[in-house]
Amino acid sequence: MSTSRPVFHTRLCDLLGIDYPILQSGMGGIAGPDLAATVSNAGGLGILAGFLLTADQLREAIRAIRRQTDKPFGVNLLLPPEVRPPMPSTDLSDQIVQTVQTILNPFRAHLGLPPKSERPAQLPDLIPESFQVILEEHVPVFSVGLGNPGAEMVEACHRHGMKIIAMVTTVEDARVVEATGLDAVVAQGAEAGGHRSHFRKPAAGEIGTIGTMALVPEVAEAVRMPVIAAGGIADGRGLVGALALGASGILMGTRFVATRESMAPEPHKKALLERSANATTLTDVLSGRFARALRNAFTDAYAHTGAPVLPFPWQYVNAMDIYREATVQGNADYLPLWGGKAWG
Amino acid sequence: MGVIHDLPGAAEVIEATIREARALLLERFPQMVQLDQ
Repeated sequence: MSTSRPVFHTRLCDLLGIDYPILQSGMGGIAGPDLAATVSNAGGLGILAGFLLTADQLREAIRAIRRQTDKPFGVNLLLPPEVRPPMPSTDLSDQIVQTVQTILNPFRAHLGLPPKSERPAQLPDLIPESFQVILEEHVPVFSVGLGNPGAEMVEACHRHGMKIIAMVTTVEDARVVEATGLDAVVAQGAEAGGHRSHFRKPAAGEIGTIGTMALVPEVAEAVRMPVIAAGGIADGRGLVGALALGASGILMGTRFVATRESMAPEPHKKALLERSANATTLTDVLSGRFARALRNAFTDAYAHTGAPVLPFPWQYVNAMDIYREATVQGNADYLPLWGGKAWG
Repeated sequence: MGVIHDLPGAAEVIEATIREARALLLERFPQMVQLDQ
């Protein structure tokens, strides 16, 4: 009998040039250059969060990763239809803007911030220039959430010798991205933290939610490309389970939030370490898109009103003054505490 | 709020995940591992 240890080298490792089939999610505000580089140096694939960074910020962040590692890494952008290009802020209904500000102003008062009544400023169209930076910097892996990047982006990545992967929540969307020519797909189960990677926002958060254990084998049977399981995976048991379900690797997000290299605010890390197992909610009040996060005063109070939200990402951008001040004050009640159902 | 000092590093998360997975296969599913080899 051989005494060699089992090795977890899958075809995903060959595709991406990594030692272990473990990807770190490109979580906004959390996954900076230090986290991505550390994960890549350890044999996984670190992924930088690039959404809402300016072209200069993104280029500098990519170069900061390269200063720390010569291993493959990724950059993630969110590509929902709402930002390709962003709608004019003048198209936001006055009534909804006023309703949202009326709900948020007591939160601002708690933090000592002045009230707001104006609509959010126009969002710049960052995606074309961000993608150009990703191409120019020859980022090894382009990671996409919340949308299908489309054939033009896929072809551009392949011309530059890059790989491109996308996150989906349904078998149908997995088939769409395979037909578009992507290299691998992340099957995101309902347990995952952060944004649900729907191509279009559903009418309610629970619509179309499929658990990881049901989704992964279904996707693995439906497509030929490597499948990466995400959602509720936070340790070696999850890795073994995902491989048994037909995945070629895993993507973990929440597990990396409370690490030294994570850029998450300290109250976010502390909340994850102290939370109970039933602490998350699937809500659109934090950003305008449905996302899983730890419940706190913000999510509970907003949800209690039953009020509408601004479209993504306006809801998030409009509340940035609250999130920034809560970070400064170390106040977890008014932060987006992105988190999934497993955290290790 | 002060910095939390006992957080793991991201590299430790990768190493622990692989270590746990190996241990799981070796200890709970030894026959599967032998077949794989």
